[in-house]
Amino acid sequence: MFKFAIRAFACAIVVVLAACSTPEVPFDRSANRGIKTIGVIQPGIEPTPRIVLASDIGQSFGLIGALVDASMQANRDGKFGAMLQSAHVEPPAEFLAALKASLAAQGYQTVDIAVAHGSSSLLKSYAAIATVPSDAYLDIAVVNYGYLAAGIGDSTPYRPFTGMRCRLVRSSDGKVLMEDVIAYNPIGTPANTVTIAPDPQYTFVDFDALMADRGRAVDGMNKALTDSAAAVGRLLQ
Amino acid sequence: MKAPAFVALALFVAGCAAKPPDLEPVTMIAARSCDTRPALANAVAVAPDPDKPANALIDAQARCLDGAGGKALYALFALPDGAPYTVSVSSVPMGRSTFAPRAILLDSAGNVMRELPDGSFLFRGANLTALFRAHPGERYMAVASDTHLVGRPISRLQENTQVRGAAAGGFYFEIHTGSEQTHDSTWSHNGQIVVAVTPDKKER
Repeated sequence: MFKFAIRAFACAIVVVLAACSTPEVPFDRSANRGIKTIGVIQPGIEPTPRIVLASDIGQSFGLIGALVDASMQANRDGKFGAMLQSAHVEPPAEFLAALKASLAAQGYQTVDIAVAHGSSSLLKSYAAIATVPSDAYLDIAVVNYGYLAAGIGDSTPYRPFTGMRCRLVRSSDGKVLMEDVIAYNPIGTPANTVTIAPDPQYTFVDFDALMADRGRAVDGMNKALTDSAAAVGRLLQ
Repeated sequence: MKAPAFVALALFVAGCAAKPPDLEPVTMIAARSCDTRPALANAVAVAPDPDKPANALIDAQARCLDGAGGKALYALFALPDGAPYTVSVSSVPMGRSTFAPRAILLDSAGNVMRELPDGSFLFRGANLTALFRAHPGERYMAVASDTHLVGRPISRLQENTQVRGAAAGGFYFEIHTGSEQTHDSTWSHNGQIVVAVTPDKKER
């Protein structure tokens, strides 16, 4: 049960991700002409997305309600994750490919950097990867992604969402050249955050509808990850 | 403060959040006589303080610029001395109208130094915003309508959650609900522009 409560707390973080974000650092490409090769640190991203119900009746009943909600969410997460696995869909690989494509579209070469990375935060230090030949490191933590419904009624269907932090660090001196937060389909209008409205074609009235239309469900999730990756590229143009 | 009163206060404060007025989109300005380069007179001064943003309402009577992309309405901002610093320039959606922005940096004589690349404006919160580093010598910024976008529709879906308090049988409950809202508007020549400058923190 305690694990469920932790997961519920983690999901709540998604919704308030941007509220606690630090001020953005815009990239100045014309002042950093030497940045041509970017070392893409293996993004921090959980292999299984989350299926989040942002508001429901359980939230009205304190800890017991939260535990029940967390249990129900774990059930949804598990079913959706199993569906992805059976379809051989790997969201981390999809996101990494989209990210490298978005950097290539902006004229950057990329180098993969494999390093242990959690999804909840960016790396504290880049000293361990200092030997990788690149002009800058791109560090991304996909704090959460999957599907989200604002409420329980038919008027608030499940739609894909992501929330991620990103940072570009100059290799030579560790200076932060860009830092931002990107949210696809956030709750509200968070400040200091690039917000991307959801594609209206990926709408599922409830969890059963989401599971029943596997192809479109996967496409919607991948679209959210791809659009978020494209936003990273735009921040580096 | 009792919890129900606190919740009621929170809802009251949220309900008081200023909502931008609705503007009829201006999409046709072919009949306007225009400047061939931005007029430096009457530029809106921007203070080097992020808490004191400069505002400009671009309406049908705003100055017009005739460039390679066609006729555009624009507002001119005078940037503070002392670059580099960070500039935030935002187009605030105004009901049916969303100003389609592009930003051009000028020197002290009004000569174009650079234009922010296409795609620099991204939605941040509710506003369409570009963040960039101003360079030494960039003293003015013309924010002009993007003629390639004007007239096209824009639709954005927004998810929200609400909490309200209720009491029954001596117990207090918080009721959590969700909602969606779709904002439909038109990219236009008119709207509100907000510019803020954040100076670099001095290193100690």
